[in-house]
Amino acid sequence: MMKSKLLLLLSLTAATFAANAQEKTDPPLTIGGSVDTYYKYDFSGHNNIPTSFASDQNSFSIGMVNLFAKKKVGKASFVGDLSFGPRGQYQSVPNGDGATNNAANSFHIQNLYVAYDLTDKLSVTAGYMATFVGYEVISPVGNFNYSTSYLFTNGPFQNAGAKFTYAFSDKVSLSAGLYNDLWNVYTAASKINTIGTQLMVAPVKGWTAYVNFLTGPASGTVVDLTTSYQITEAFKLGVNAANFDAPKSPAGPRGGYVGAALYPQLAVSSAVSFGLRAEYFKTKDGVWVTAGPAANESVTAFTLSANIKGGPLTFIPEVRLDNASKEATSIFTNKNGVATKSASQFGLAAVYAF
Amino acid sequence: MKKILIAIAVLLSGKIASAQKELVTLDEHNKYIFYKVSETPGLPGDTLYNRLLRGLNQSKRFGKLKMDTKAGNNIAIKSSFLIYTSANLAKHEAGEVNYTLNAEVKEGKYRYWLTDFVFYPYERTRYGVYAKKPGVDYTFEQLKAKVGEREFSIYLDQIAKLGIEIGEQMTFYTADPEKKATEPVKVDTKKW
Repeated sequence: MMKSKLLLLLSLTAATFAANAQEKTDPPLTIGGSVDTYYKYDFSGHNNIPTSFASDQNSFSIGMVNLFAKKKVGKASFVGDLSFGPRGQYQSVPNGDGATNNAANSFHIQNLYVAYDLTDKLSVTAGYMATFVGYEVISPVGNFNYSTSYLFTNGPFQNAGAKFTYAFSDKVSLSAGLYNDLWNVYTAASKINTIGTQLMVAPVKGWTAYVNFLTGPASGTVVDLTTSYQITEAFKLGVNAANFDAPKSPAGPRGGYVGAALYPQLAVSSAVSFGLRAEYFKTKDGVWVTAGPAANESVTAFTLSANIKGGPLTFIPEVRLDNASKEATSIFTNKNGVATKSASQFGLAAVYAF
Repeated sequence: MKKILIAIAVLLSGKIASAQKELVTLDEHNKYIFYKVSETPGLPGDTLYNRLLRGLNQSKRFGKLKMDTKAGNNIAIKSSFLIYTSANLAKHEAGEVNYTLNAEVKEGKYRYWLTDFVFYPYERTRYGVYAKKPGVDYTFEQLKAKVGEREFSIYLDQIAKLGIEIGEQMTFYTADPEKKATEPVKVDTKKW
């Protein structure tokens, strides 16, 4: 009896070693995500700055719970990226298809796509994907500042479609795709006629630049430059510039926006970094309405944030000052509800990534 | 008795798992290294060398090899592998590690070691995947201070597992894989 049990143990051990002797296998299923919560106080006493997220005034509020999974087998892979909470539902993804029973039903999907490596250099990706346009992203894990820019708020969040990506080398790749007629929709309104391209170049170590182009008759045309350069181990500089021309409108000039933002960031230790966002954003003359200043007016916004890390948890204290070009038609109001040129707010966010 | 055996098995498996990272140590130059010597009694050095070279060349693990074999009895391969955040349910790529695999043969034995570890941290992208953070890399000698002791310990453990797996592959290569390939093991179902 004793002998047979020992043999069983030995055979189990041998089986373990045999399994370990296998050659390289497919990567495991990876699962990750984040949770974020925040407090914000606008010094006017009410919510003033119209950019995305961190929208609740004088309130301990929630962002989202984000969960994603990825698996690759051979050349085929998938990503499923779900989010729950204000930031991950009505503030960033569409609700149902508009049918009576489905109008307010969130699908919670940030990313849902499959990909296949056709060759070592060429891959195809299809599904509902976070947009390739812009510097900032929906997940707070991907941003340094907790509040977001006007460029982010007014740009696309997601694009549904299919794209081919060709990597000429580690330093140059080109992506081209065909997308639904509108941004941020799970279903095309009527056509698949938005074209998107992205050129990525990495000229030197630590510097990557993306030139993005997205155009469609129903969604307009955006040309975007997004670049970041890790100049030293402690200092990183990011730049985002974009020009958007809205789709043609029978009501008048189409409008759109133009803007640029700088993102200098300095790590003072492995746990503490400081980052500034300095943004200029101008709304063009036309019928297109932005989440920002009125037509032909601009706003300049400065946001100073710290990232204080304690393992997977990051605290983000933040102050922000926005300044409009004209007082009379400013979107900001003071404590008495009267138009004013500036708005300022303080925020403290906690983001846990896993 | 059954309970004692199970307890021993559990303790043994725990001991093996926790001890793996101890296989990655500092060498005389204060660089992290996974080092092992294997005995192959009776095998001439040139036979060992050719079998290792053939096996490593065919290995899927190393892909397109950047192999330096100028010394004649020495093989050096630059390769990389992914390190994950933990072994728990929720895990994702923490980074990519570049390393050099060196192997050297003598009469009746060979040694191999993994060293020159450089860690490239990954960050989350907008597409719900992790990718290399541009422009940031640390040698393993710098890394402990950057990621903390707990994470570093997890990374060392994964390097040790890699070293063990490569060793098992090498054992297979040096045991004349050609002969094994021509004589597959078959089950005779008529005799039982």
